[in-house]
Amino acid sequence: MKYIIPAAIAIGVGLVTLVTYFFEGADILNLRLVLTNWAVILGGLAVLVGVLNLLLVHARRVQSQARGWVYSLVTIAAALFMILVGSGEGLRSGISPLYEETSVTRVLFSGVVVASQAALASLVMFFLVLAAMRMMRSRPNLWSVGFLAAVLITLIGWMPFGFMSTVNRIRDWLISVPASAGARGIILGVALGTLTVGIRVLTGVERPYKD
Amino acid sequence: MTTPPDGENYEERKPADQPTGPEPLDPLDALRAQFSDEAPEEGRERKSSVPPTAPLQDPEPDFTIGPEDEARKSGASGDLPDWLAETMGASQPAGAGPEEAGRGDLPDWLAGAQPVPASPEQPASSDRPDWLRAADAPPEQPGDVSDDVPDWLRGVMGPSPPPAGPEKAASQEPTPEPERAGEDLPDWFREVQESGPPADTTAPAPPPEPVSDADTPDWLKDIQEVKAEEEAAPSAPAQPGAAPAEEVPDWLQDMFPTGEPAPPETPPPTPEPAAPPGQEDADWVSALGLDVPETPQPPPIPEAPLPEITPPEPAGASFPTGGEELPDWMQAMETAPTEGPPAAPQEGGEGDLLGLDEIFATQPVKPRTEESKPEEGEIEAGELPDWLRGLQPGAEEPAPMVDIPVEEPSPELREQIEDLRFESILSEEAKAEEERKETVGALRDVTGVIQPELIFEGESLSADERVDRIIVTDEQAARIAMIKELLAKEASTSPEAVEGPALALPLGRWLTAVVLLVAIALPVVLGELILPDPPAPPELVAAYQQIDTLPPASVVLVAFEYEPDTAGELQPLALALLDHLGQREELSLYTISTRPTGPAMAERALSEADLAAGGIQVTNLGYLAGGANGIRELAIGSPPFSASPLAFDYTGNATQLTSTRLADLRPDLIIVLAASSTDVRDWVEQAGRTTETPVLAATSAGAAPLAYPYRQSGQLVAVLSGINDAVAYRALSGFGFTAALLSIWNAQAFGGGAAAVLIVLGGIVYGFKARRERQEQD
Repeated sequence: MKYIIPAAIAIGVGLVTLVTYFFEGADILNLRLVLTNWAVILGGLAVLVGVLNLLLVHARRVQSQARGWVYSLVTIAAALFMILVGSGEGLRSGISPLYEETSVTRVLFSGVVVASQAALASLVMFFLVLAAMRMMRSRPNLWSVGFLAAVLITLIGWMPFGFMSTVNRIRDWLISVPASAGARGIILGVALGTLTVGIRVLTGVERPYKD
Repeated sequence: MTTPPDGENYEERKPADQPTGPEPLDPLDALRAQFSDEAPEEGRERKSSVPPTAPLQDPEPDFTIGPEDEARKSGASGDLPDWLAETMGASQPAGAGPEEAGRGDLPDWLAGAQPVPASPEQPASSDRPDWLRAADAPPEQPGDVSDDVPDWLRGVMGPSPPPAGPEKAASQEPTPEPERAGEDLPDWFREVQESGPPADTTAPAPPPEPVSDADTPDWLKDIQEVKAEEEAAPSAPAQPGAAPAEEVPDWLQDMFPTGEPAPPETPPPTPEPAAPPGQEDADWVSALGLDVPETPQPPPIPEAPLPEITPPEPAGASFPTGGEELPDWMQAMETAPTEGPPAAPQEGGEGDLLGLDEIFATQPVKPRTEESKPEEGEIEAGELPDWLRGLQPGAEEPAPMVDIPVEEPSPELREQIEDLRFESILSEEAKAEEERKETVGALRDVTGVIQPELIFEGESLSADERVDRIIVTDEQAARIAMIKELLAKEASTSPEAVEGPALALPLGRWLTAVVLLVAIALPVVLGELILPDPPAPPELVAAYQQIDTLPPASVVLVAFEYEPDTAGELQPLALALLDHLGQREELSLYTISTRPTGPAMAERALSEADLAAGGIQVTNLGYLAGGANGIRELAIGSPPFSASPLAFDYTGNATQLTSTRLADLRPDLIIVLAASSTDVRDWVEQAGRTTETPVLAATSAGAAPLAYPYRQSGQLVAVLSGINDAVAYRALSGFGFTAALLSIWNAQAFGGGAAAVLIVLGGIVYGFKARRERQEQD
């Protein structure tokens, strides 16, 4: 019974959701909407659970004084500060302070969160350039040369210079043909994997809800 | 008769196993003959072949009978049946043969066995073990009973009167018996009195009368013949006073190394049939002056004549009545003379000639172990009582003389034993190897083929390893070497990293960072290096046309599926599209996001966009929980009892929309500003296909390749990506460029150029360096 009931629930819900794609009916559609709404609620709770998990993980690191526990402490303090400030401002204004022009929450969000995340994303450029430079040292072969050539063409072809129209066309071809072919393969693989997992869940072979 | 060599099958011979037979019969010889042809395993079961005689069984141990109760017990035999009473009356002192009393009721074979005269002397049995021969010396003082009493019996005797000699005991014991009998004597005992004086149970059995050949079975005839031979042999004269010693079996007498006669307390192997239960034991015990407690009387024996008694045959054994069917153990009796009538077998005793079974049955049973198992040629400990085993040469630890029940071995022991088997020694893997079927070669489909790897038993090649698992190809070896080299490099401190604390990073990284920073910062600082307008690709034109052709009062849904980390790239695209939408008249614009920070990004973009030109209506629906499920619910609607995502905006205010789903809202365009291709796919699959609404994707440059397949399949109107498309879209729409956008665009362009140069230079430098290292290694 430990596995039968969850399997029955999962299979039943999956079948109901799947059947609504092939048959129309108010009752079965409402049932599907209820099930979908449950999933939406669980998805919303997942954000809250994620925040709590973040706090717990870093709290353990602070408690055990693990390496870098100071950063965990800063993380906890920042999270608690943002929660307290946001909750206070939200209770005061009655709406989410994130959307208020003068709220502390919005200032912190734009000045800290947006800037820091953009800065972190910009570091990716340095990492990629360094990796490409050292690639010929760690793996000096033709495949590496080809890889670096594609990178160079894409970078140079992306630059909007008129005299580089040939390179631009090569870049467009690389993106639309080889890159799209690879992306299509990835998407098809994902679709097949999703279908397989769905069938396995519907047949009870796959039980992700198990312990 | 042939007897086994000394010690052979002795482990099978126990007092309890001895058959009841004529009293003076040497039980050792009889047992030796009985079990000489039996398998050791059958020895225990053979014990049951002795015919049980329940009525005459003395339930109490003989040692418990005291001297005070002896006479009373002898006189209290009034419960005995007449036939036993007659037999008892016949057990007169010497001279009165038992055949006189009960021969008429006894079967022929039994009657023939009764008159076998007791042999006063025991012939030196050649088939006895050595340790028994050593104790074969004739008794010097047969009448001294106290000398023969073991220590433990002496302790029991305590204040009892001084022990009398066998002669004295034989002459004095019968005297109190009539006095105690008194007037309560039963009829059967009165008949006994009338027939003569009370029998002296301790007296030697009367000499048997010759039995005619017609009444004697064959096996008894043989016994008589052997008896005649033994009588012809020189022997010590029989003494009446030595009767108690003579009643003791020969093998017990031989056990005394001092040559003294067997102690009178040793019960005779076969009680007289006329004596009541325990009578014969009481006699010799009374001779020791022991207190014989009252023992429960056995139930009266039916008066059925003995010949008609057919004892039940135990399973697996038969008890022939004589003649040719006589078993071996009875045939062995012919080697020993009989003294007195054959005693009826005792109940449950099954040959308990000494009557010691009941005694030792109460003692704790020592479980038989491997260590306690006697060796061949050695008498098993269970054969002899403790006090007798002490006389055995070399005996150290006497074992209880009881039938040790064969206990079922514990599961652990059984498992350990089973593990010792050959099949268990072989491991499962070895079994699998044995059962493995050959797949190639001449031995194909043959199982049990010895694998070559099993032969290579060495230090580096164990038997359970397969050869194909051990062989490493050159390519694998090269890879292993490379992995080891990489691990070694990571483990070792980089020489560039230890140049100084100020240069925590390698110099090359510093140079790379500096070059990139300069390339990015220079256009921003100067602000004059304006790049030419980028060309408008077809995708951009399609997107522009899709928005530009929107009808008045159309509905557009914009999904902000990006967060601050990618806002620098997607925000210009969002602004370009919003500015264009703002040019449409009476447009209803709805923004939504499945990311927690998405509504904030939307609000930020909406605040920067120029939306006031066309007087469009903007509604930020906020956060849509559930990811793909939320999109699905938005598309097909919410359940009746649940609020629709279209009902309230991000501030919680009602949107005044009557539609509860996208299908009812019927948007004219869905614009997805996605940082990843997953968001594009979710919106295309869950919303675009469901509502049959055109979807325009504006993604990051990294997610664009994964969005192109949907564009090529027609599920997307257009795919815009990156700063270049934003600039191109603005240039195409004629909105102009903002300073921020120009800075980003120039910085990104120059940064990309610098990165390309660095990659080329780095590739060349590191390529030559790696080549030189390989040449040095070679």
